[in-house]
Amino acid sequence: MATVTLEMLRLQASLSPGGNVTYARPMGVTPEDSALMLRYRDGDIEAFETLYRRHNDSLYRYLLRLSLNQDAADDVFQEVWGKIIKARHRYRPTAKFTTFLYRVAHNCFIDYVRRNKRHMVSSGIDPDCSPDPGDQPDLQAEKSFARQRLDAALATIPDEQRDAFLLHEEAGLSIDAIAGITGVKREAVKSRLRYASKKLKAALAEPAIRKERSA
Amino acid sequence: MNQDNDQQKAAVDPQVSDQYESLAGEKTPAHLDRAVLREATRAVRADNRKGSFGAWFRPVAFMATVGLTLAIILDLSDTGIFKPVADMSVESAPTIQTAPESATDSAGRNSSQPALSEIKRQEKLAPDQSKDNAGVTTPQAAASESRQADPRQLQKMRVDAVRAVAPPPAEPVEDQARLSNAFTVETGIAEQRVQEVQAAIDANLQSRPGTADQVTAPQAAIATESHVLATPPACSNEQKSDVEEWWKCIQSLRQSGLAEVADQELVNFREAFPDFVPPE
Repeated sequence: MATVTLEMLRLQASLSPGGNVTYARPMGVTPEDSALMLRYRDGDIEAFETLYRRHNDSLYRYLLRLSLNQDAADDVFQEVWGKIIKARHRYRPTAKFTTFLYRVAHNCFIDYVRRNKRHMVSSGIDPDCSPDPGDQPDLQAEKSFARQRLDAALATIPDEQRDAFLLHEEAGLSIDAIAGITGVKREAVKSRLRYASKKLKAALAEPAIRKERSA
Repeated sequence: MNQDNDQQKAAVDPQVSDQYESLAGEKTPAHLDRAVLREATRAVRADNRKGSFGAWFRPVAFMATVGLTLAIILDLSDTGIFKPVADMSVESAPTIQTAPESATDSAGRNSSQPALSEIKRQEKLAPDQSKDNAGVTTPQAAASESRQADPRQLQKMRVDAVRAVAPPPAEPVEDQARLSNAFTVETGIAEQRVQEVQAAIDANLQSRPGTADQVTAPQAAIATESHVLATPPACSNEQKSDVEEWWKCIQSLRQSGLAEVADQELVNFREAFPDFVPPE
């Protein structure tokens, strides 16, 4: 089965007028993520592992910052991949695999919240969770501090805005895809992204302002 | 799509995106990785087990379905739903069925056995009446004795001979075709028996050239057989009205070999004309 990599798409985009990357899928060619999923459907475990390694961290971060609860993120994370595994025989590459994955994740989170409404308390995110091993200690501390501010900023914005922002940042989905997943119109998605970005910018800039002032 | 990208870029501040990208570096915990990969492997192995099972199960299930369907169809055909109704007109007459039991390729030989046996039976009865011919057991002797026997005995013997020749009466039937077929076959069998009797008698005569009695006796047996086929020409009422004509008729019957008929006519003649003295 022929596969299309991102480089091939960019080459195609460079040849097209405007030089923009076109995400339109050529006729008869399966994208790479979908190809891996189809191979896993046919029994290729290594294909699934490749696919998993490609999306596990971004999905985990999405769920982590969406729920603001590490235990909830762990549970939903396992639940999402469990559903992906069970749905392998019904999988059809009608859309991007990323859209499919985050649609499942979004729905699983909503179901989890409904089941555990009483117990859903923001336990916070461990800022020192999985620190980069290559970073120096002071850098790690700085990052940890910055991460705390980010998480705190994210916690201040509404859930819908945070959801749209995280789908944009972690999944790299388009406005239309985000609208399809969240079930709102694209104008609503644009509005949410705008407000979330504005608030995060203000929250992230505040410590910097204080630093400058203190300095 | 280009417009969408532009709008997307406008919606989110690039600084915020860059800042988020640099800070949000969390990795998936190792235990979650292990759990998910273990579940994925287990699912594939379960598929393989189902696949190996299905590899032979599906063909077997298909063949079983086909076999059951054929069995049902064959069973329906055997239960008589599609069996044609037996044609009653084809059934042969019961009387015919008895004949082939004793028949061979040359039906005449065996079919003549009852007639011969009947004649022999009569022969056995005859020696009791005639002590002079004690040692003779030929049909000729029996026939000669019968001529001198009581008319009633003669009648009985004739009836017995007829019965010996004729097959037992057929069961009441409704089909006229079967009736006609049965009658035709019975007549044919009787004719064959007569011919066989004649042949046997002729052979016997050739081996033992005998008296007129020996000649007329078998003729009498044949006449008895023939009586079954057709009513012998007895004396008419006109002849019976005249004593001499009647006497002549009786004589002609005797000369033609119908001794028994002639005897019966003679009995009637004696009753009618007891004082008649036959001319020499």
